Amino acid sequence: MKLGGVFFILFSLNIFAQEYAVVSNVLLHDITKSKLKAIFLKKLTHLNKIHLVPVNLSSNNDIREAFEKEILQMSKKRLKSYWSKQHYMGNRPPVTMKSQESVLAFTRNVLGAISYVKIENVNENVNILYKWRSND
Amino acid sequence: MTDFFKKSLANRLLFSFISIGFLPFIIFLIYTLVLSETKIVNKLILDQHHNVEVVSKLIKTHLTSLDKEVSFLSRLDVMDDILADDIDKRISRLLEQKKEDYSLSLEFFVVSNNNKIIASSSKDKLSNNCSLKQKFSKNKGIFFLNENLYIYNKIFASFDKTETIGILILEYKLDNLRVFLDNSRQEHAFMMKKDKSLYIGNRPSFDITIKNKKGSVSLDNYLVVYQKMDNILKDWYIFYMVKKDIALYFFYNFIHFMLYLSPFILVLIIVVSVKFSKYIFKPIEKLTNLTDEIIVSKEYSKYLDMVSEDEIGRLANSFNTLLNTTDKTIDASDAKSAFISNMSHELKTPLNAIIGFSQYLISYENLTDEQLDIVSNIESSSQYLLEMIHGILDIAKIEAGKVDININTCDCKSLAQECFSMLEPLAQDKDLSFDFNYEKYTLKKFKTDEKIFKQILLNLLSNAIKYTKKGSINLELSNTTKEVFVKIKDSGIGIEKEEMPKLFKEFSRIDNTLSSKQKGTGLGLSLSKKLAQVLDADIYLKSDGLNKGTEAIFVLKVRS
Repeated sequence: MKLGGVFFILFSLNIFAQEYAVVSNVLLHDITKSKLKAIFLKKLTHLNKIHLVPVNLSSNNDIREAFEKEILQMSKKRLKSYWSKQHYMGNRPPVTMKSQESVLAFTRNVLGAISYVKIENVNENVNILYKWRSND
Repeated sequence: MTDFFKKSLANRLLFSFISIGFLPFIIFLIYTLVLSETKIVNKLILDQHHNVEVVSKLIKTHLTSLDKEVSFLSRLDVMDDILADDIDKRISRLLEQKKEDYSLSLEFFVVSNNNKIIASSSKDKLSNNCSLKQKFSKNKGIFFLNENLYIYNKIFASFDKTETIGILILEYKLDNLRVFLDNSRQEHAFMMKKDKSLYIGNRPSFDITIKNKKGSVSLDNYLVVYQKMDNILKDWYIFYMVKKDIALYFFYNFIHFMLYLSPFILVLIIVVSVKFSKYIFKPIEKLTNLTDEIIVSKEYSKYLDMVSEDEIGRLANSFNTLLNTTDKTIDASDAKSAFISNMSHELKTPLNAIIGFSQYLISYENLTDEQLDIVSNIESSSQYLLEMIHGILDIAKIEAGKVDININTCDCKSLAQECFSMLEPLAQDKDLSFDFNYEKYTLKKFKTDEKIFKQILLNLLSNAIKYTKKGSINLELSNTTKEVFVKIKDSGIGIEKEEMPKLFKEFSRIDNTLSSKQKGTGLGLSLSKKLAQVLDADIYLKSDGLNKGTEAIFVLKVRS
């Protein structure tokens, strides 16, 4: 009965939780949440002498929202004001793609491209650098 | 022709009016026919050059804007999708949208680095290989191929401006430029490549040789204006052809109108001139006619009826005044003649009785010497009076124009001989030598009035005898082809120069010692002169002075 309850919980977690993966066409080790944040805020542009190209999904995409919530840990408002300031310093926000397919295609084609997709969409052309789970 | 103007003021005036009317009209007509066509054509060429300029500018602007569009599109962030093979079709949709906006015959392509068309404004070209690879040598550029214009711009990754990720190409059909080329009924525009390999717009049926960057050619039906284009289309010429008959339609119409109208205008000018000059000359003609009429009828009581205040009106007024005065004078003169004539007749009757009775007394009664003397005096005085009355009557007759003239062919020589013979005894009485010389007279026939001729000659001869105390009297008859001269020269008392003008006046006799002793009415010379004038002849007197003799010359014209 107890075990059944745990299974139930696990099962229910499996049903409602979504797992995401940060992918790239280069294999980078020791990618932490804070490194990812620095990469996607373009504070960190090179790693292992590779020019990093972060790729976002379009702004109202669920996956992007989950990513911003989990990794960047910044609200939309804060991000907006951050990029506004960066804009005046000559920096632009990451490349934006509309769909996960194009994100994956881009990541496969561009050296140093780094992006995030639902884990089930990950294919063999990209390397998984980081994974996280969301319960929403 | 000169007579036509010389002899008629009316004709001169008419000519002036017509020339004043004609000259401006003819100058206008010549200007319209000769000069204005060139001017209109030049204006047309200028207008077309302006048109060409405007269209050239429009095309340039259009192509420049296309070029800018391509540059702009190539710089959009969305072009990063090339790297994801445009799986989301964002680029394609954008290009489709752009194509739709232009609504021209054009296509946009995005070619990836591996020469594949990954986005396009038309779906059917997708995934094809691009065949133009070698043409994209620069970052951006323009080139022509076949009937298309290609504008390309290399696309760089938004995250790395050094990395080319593809090329945006605009394929523009040159035929699109047709919309800038007017093709109305009157105008026809087209563009031509320098080497004549390509035309935009309707190709003309004839060939045009281009000489300069800009020029115009006038053909039979068309006026062609061309200009070289610049920048992108530097190998192209733009042409504007204007159909002459349509462009100059109004002008040709106007010329036809003028030509059709000109006979009417000319006729109108002539008619108005004739009418106007007639109007001006009507009073003058009236005046002339009246004058002619008066000359023929001698009726001076007429009156010129004219109401106007101009110069001719004033002339008519003066003429009327003149007529009035003349009429009065003639009336007075007529009255005088009538009075003299009547008086003389009334005087003649009792005078004849006096002469008759005194002659009767002299011949039939036994009168004493003293009585005979008195009666003889009465008779001679009466004779003198009668002679004078005859003279007065004759003068009155001449003045009244009542002398009967009978012009006949006569022998002048025998008439003079008769007069000579008649007066020879008088000369012999005074012991004067009296000669008749007619050697210089050659005419066989001469027309004159015998009676008057004889009367004048007798008058002159008796005057010569009367005023010559001693010496000679010479009668000479001579002629030229036009005139006959009768000269009577005496060695008598002569005439002083100052007295000459008085000679032909009625009742005037020169007052000198000799003449006072002579009987005479003083009418002789005056009567002779007036009679001579009736014959269209004249009498002159010449004298070197007192006591130096006198020469009377009677000149008659030879009548044909």
